[in-house]
Amino acid sequence: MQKSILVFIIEWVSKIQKNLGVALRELRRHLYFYDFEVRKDDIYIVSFPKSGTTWVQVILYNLLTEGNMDFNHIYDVSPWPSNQAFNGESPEKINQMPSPRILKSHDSYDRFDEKARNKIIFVYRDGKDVAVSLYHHNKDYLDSNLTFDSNFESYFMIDKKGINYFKFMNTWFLNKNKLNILYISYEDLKSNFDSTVQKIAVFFNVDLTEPILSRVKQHSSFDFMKKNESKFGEIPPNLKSPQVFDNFIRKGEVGAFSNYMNDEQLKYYTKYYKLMVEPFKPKN
Amino acid sequence: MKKRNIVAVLFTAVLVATGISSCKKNKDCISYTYDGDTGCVCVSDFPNREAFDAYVTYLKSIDGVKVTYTSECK
Repeated sequence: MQKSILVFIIEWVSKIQKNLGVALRELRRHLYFYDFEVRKDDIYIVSFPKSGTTWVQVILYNLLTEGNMDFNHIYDVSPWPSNQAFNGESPEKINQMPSPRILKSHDSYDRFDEKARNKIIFVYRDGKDVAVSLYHHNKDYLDSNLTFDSNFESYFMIDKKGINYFKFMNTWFLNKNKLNILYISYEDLKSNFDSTVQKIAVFFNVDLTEPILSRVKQHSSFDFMKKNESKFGEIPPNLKSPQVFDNFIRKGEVGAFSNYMNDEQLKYYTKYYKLMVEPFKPKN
Repeated sequence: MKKRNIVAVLFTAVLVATGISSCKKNKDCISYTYDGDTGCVCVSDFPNREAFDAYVTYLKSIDGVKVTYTSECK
């Protein structure tokens, strides 16, 4: 009897701790965005994690500027506000950046102001490849003992709390508030790079001359980004288990999922893709 | 007698109008079941009613999906 009370108290305390953690994170976020200067010409690159965000950041940076790659980290020229908020940083530096700012985001659709008319690029990738890439990312950066199955469960099972691939894609594709979004797929960038970059250029009224395209190609190539990985990779968090921090730009492959997903996972993925994503996928 | 008839007609009209409006309200959301799993969406999740209706048609076209109209998603 006494033991069960003890277990109850421990569970109760851990629940409070968890909720307190969430509440504190939200508070930090509110404080950050209270000081964050919202601009009408801010550009957002939004995606589900591991869908090609950094790739598009480099492409867009090279389209809209002279493409100086001497920065220490891509976040110096294309920051990630929500991550700064998460880390308890101040938006002071971002507020001082010249317009238009190219901002990265993995935020859910409802985090965006429904009346905002900023230009948004939504980058999407086959979820099965996302599952593989995300697994390697989390294994390298967060937990070296992570299994593919548990990672798949966290991000793809519909009843799990937190960011979910199907819900994320569903709401961003649905775009119920009619935000000003250009949809770009990772696969299109792989197979039709020039015409996809042309689409982005048109969206931002950039005259895509041969020298600009050539610069974009050079600086966003897999070889360049892998060679200069320290400019693009995640900044290591302070965590306990051993991690790898030089594998942010990993393979850039399409279709590697068949080596990882079992039949049950594939069936589950196909079902929810059919229900929540496929009917809303933008038509090219 | 005439007065009573008028009251009856008015009363019926109010009942019919309430019925129609609640029917309309009931059609703002759908719940669906597919392969043992359930889902629910409302018109408010979509840019407009047309998009919602198109989705309902799409769902109905999938073999094994059962769609039921409901007033809200719980």
